[in-house]
Amino acid sequence: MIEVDHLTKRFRSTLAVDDLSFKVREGAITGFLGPNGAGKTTTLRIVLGLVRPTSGSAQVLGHAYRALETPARQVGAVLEASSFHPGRSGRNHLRVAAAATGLPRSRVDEVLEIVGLSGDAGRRVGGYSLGMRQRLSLAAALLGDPQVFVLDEPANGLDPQGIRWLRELLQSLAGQGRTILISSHVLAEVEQIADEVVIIHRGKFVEHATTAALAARAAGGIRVRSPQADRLRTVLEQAGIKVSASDGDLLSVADTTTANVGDLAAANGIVLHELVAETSSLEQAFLELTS
Amino acid sequence: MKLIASELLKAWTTPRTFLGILLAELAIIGIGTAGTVDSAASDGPLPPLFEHDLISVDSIAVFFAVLLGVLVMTTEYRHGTISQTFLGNPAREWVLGAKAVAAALIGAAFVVPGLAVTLTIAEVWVGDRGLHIGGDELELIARLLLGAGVGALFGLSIGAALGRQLGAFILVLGWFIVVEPAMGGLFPSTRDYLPGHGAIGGILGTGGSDFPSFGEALPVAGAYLLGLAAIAVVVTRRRDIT
Repeated sequence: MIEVDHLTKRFRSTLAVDDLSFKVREGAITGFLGPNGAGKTTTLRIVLGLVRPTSGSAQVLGHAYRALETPARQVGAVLEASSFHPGRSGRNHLRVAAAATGLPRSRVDEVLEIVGLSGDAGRRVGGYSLGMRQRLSLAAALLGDPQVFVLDEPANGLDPQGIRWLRELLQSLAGQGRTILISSHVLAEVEQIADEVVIIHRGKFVEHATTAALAARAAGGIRVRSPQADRLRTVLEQAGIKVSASDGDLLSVADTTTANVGDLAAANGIVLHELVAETSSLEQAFLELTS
Repeated sequence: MKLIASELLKAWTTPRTFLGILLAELAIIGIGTAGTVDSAASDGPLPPLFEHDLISVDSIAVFFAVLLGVLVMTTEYRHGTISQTFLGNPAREWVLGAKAVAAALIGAAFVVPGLAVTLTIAEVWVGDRGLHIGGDELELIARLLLGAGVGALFGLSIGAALGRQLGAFILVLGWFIVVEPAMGGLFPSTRDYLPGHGAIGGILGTGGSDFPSFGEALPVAGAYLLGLAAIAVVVTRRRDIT
């Protein structure tokens, strides 16, 4: 669906993307993550034919973007929320895009309705908030009713309601079998919606895995609190379980399960006040992989 | 046609971008027309070639058409809308072609309000003294429209090659106001081959025998347009939109 193959991009002395390869699965939401300056935006712009790679290639639907027959009807893109003429109204911005691709004017009103901008469509974009501009970008991406979406930080500037709306929109699109590649620095959002995650750092590929697998890999240990912490520690160590840290009545235990710890405590008559598997998160995994 | 319609719609939906240029053009034409009419202000019939001189005042519209051409192209880079344009139509040479048609049409269209101002002032001031627009004047108007179209294409090509609005404006103003007059003064034999004097000046034919003929000017203009268009296409195709 989207395939990046040994992609390299150098801007004079700066190596922005370094031999990057990955594939985005059809019908999935794939998060594209990396710290600031990792090369995410450059990669997405190469995918969209806006930036020429120094070497390697990027293909969408089996073709270079520039070779797509009807790109606006095949790929929807959100780039920067600032890419609007401030003197043009939101509706006119979409009308211009629709005219260039032969889409009917009625489609403009449809997408304005979808993104919730119908009431402000006649206002000049210069007066829009960042969140409204982001919604307008999404409206432009939706115009051609494409099968593939490439979204660069689409949640930027959205308020909590807007982020929730975006999440529901993307989940709805994915539910229709569309492919979505989304870069974001709001990892909690990506974790909630992405099926898979591609992580890059300093232009290089770091990891491509399902979101669940990645988060699980970064899983923390088990937190167990007991008024008999010293005795519990001895029991666990005798059972070959590593106690990684202790602080008063709190122990941190690694490489085992909560069931195992609970069973051992019960078998030895040890009272437990807390037994919790420390939650894993994409953020932890991300930080571990890119630090 | 879709692309051309889209480019014209871009201009139509951002009238303020062009309003400043139009107002400046009309102000200069208004002052120029008043001066021309005033020089003939005495009782009796109008002097010979009065109508020709009157419409020649509108030649300044060609200079503004060059600036319009710059605007049509560089406004997209300035506001970042070029990303959306190239996403919709990644064949950049086709986008340039559509912009060229739109710029030429807009440039030529900007001649019309200037003519309206000129003829209105003249009609009010000396209309009762035998003001007559005939075949010669209509030919001059046609040349003005063509010259404005060519001027807009010059501006568009320069805008496409440079990408930056301020840089393109400085280049255009610097060339037509400083460099070309200086070159023409220092090397008179080159004047007929310079874009302002040799190409646009010859097309307009408002400067008398000092300028090349229409037939001589057309190939000069064509050569400049081809050269500038080639540079614009190559640079635009290779440019990274970051």
